[in-house]
Amino acid sequence: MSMLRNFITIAVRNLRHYRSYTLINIAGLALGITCGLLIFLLIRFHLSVDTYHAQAKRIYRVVTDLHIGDDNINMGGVPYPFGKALRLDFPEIQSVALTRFESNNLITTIPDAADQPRKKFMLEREMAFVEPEFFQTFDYTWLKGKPSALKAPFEAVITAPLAEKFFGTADPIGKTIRLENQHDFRISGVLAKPAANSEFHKTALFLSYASYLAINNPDIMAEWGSISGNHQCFVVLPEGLQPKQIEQGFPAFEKKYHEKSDEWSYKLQPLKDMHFNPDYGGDVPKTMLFALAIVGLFLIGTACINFINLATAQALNRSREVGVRKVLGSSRWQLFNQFLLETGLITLAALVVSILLVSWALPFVNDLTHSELTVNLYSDAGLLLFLLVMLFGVTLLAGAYPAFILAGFKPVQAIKGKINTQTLGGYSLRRGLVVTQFVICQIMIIAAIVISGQMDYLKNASLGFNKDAIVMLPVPNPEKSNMEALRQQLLRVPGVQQLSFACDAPAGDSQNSANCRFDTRQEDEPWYINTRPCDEAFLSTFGIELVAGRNLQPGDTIREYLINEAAVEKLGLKSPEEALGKSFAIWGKEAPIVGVIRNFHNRSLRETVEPTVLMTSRERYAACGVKIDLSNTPHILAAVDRIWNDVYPDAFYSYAFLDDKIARFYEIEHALLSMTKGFCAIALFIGCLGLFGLVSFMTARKRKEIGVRKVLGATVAQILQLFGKEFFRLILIAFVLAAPLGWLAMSAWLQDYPYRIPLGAGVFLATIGATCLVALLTVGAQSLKAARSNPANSLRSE
Amino acid sequence: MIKTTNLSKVYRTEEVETTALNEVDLEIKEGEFVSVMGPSGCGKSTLLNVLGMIDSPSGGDYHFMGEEVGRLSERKRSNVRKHNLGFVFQSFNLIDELTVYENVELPMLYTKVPAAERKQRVEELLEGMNIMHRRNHFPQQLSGGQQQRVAVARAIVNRPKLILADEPTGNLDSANGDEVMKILSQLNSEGTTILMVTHSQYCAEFGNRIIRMLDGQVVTENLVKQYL
Repeated sequence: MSMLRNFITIAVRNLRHYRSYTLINIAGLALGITCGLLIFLLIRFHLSVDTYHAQAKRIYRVVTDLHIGDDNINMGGVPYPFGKALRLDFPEIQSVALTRFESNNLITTIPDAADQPRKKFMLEREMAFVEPEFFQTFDYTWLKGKPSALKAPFEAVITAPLAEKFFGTADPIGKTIRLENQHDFRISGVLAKPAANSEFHKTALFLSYASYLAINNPDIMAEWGSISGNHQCFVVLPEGLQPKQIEQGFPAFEKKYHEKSDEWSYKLQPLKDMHFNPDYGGDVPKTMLFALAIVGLFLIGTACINFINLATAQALNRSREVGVRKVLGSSRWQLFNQFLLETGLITLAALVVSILLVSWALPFVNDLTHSELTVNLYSDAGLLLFLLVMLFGVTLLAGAYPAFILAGFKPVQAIKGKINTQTLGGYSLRRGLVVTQFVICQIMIIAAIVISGQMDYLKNASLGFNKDAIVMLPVPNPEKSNMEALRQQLLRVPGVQQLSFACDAPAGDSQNSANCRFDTRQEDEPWYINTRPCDEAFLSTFGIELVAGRNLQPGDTIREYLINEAAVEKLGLKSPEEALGKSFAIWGKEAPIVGVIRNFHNRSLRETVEPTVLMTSRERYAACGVKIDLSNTPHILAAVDRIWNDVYPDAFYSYAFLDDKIARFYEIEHALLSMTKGFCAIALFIGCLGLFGLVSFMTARKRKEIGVRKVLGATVAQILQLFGKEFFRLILIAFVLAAPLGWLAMSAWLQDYPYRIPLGAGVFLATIGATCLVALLTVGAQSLKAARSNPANSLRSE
Repeated sequence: MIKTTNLSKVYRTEEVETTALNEVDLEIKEGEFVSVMGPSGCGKSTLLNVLGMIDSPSGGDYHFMGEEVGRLSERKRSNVRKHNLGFVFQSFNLIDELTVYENVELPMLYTKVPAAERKQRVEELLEGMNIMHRRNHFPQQLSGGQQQRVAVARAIVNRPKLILADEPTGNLDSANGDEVMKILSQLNSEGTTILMVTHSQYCAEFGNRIIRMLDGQVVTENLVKQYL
């Protein structure tokens, strides 16, 4: 104990004495640990998604693989009659829960008294129709009511936060809400706020599945040929029953219910796979988490390298103490422990700083990554364990080598201050460490430059239509009189230049594909065509170019078609003109092709242009694109708001600029870029601390050499060259290693984008340029100070 | 107490071989106060370091208290050292980050002396050396003489059988030097064996035997006049 106290006393005094060294070390480690901790929290959060349900290991989602012609389509959903058939044919399944997730729903609260105002809410993705079995499958905390309430149609269960939004502090039970101004639901249950680490954490309003059947055409229950990704089926298998045992029965099941059974195949997807599998809509591929973990390890590693570098350089200051302790009888092991303990104290301080930094950064990270990460030191055993592992791991990784070097000093040399660079691991080790750090930094700089270049490209590349100065409005119902009123009134607003009604903007979230048949061919084409119902003003409003034929005539129903160049190619035609006048059919509606349009992107640039068909079909219009004069935006928006609410008094008004909506396609890239930039800056900063350590070490070691050289007539510039040559050589070696690694990693990343920036020499020149500049700033001042020092001082001290 | 036979120490670098100790035969009896003199580079300090077991010999035998210690492992040498030897250096070699009290206490931490006894011994010694009032000061806050007295206190706190002093007065003015020499003499008169390296004839004569070295060898051994 006394020895420990002695170690701690001397450690604290030393850390206080060499304040700048301590601060640099704590800062470097704290930054590395902060990144490691954030990445740990993020990875743990994602790995924990939906694992908390009591039956999690036995829950599966039935997914569908469609094999149509050349296309393979993976869907997270099942056809509408699927659930009933599954229950019938597989009675061994413990429970089946059908769920229909909804988006962009208008909910109006209906007050108990007529004189109270109604409130309108737009639920973006918070609503789903569920069977009572949903709550036997997934764990929710019921504050009021019970799942059986959802057996009957037009019953609803709501989460407490949404209930508060709807009804304030009033008891929601028994209240009425209206869906899309048509269907009334009674609130019969209240749930606590669902856990954030759930795929369904956004779903806050659960309507009874029975009502979905009541609202929709009952024919859908016999429709085995159509499928929506939003209509999902969750099953719980009893203990001991393997998913394979169920899946073995699926081929016969497919044959029994599907006419073209070879096009359909069902699979059971484990619940834990849902969040990660991008084939079925999983948001967070595990490869991304893996890459993040590597980045985290890199950052912690570079911080440790930094520490080793600084600590071994600093070891000279401790040599006499080591010598004295050895003379007084200290063993090597005791000295090793003593210095390891000092590293432990620094790591502990860095951990405390990291926890503060993480708490400060969490809101930004949560916002950026759509997570709900928390730091709770009192009850989070996993976090405490991680911190403990971090404390011991970093202490050992960073402290073991310097402690080993220090403890190994020969007492006679140590006491006489004759420890040389060779004893301290020499220059070559130090050089190796700095090169490693700069390899990491440069790879991250390459990543940041490439990702930000690709982001710029994605944001600014032409999508084949005009996305600027266009305001998108919802069209709540396809009534012709409303649309006409809206069109005429909006066009009268000064500054509104054009407008078009369509299912959506040329590129948007809503996509609809269909089988198509061309000309006199006997079979449907073996691929799907993207359908974009729109009026005749669509091309001019969005600036889409016609390459052959003419535009659509005004109309309310399908009377003629426009197809794009990709469709012409897919149909095997030699020229756009060849398509003109030929008959074309989708949804069984045959009509002539009257024109061919230039390709435009109907999704993000992550996807290639799909074959697309445009046709008038008023009942499918759900959006209105208004091209405006941006110089008068506030007035125009105010007028649009007023007019829209006059035309649709019962609906919920919202607007969005098309370019903003398109920018949202790239949220993942944006988050990735922000994180890469942050990590890159931190890696660079830690790298600079390492360089700073090296230059301090070098100036201390070269004092005599500098003195002698100056006495012999060397100028300051010539002395600076001594340092410059050394550092630029290290950076160059690091670059030679980092450039191919960075090139490989970023080429692989860019492969996911059919439209991408070239990985040219500029990226690499910028990388080495930036590194050199940062290095120059870091080592410049120190080197200059050493070069300008009075030679008498250094020689005298020798 | 000490007996060396053909004790050698050779420093080798890639190209140069330097013989610091050349087959030194030496015997020091318990209770002696031996001064080692000689020109710079003659091997005095090397002899002290080898005998103090902070450096290992290249050849020959070294018996300390009847036991061959020249070829002991680092761990065993450190064990012998901490229980039997005390060191006093020219440049004091106090640990800057420890107070006077803590510096003197430090050797007892390695020999696991109980806390109460440590306190008592440190206080006694500091009183004896007349630096008790400086117990909470750091070395750099003391004069050279005070620092060396602390160093002597640290060297004897474990009650070593042998004190090795490497030019203990080299960094001190004559008054302080005298004081340190008197302390050493006092310790010797109380039974502690002392081996001291010095350049000063005056200091050497505080001992009872003077060994002169040249080029790594003992060239003469004389008793100090008063012991003749």
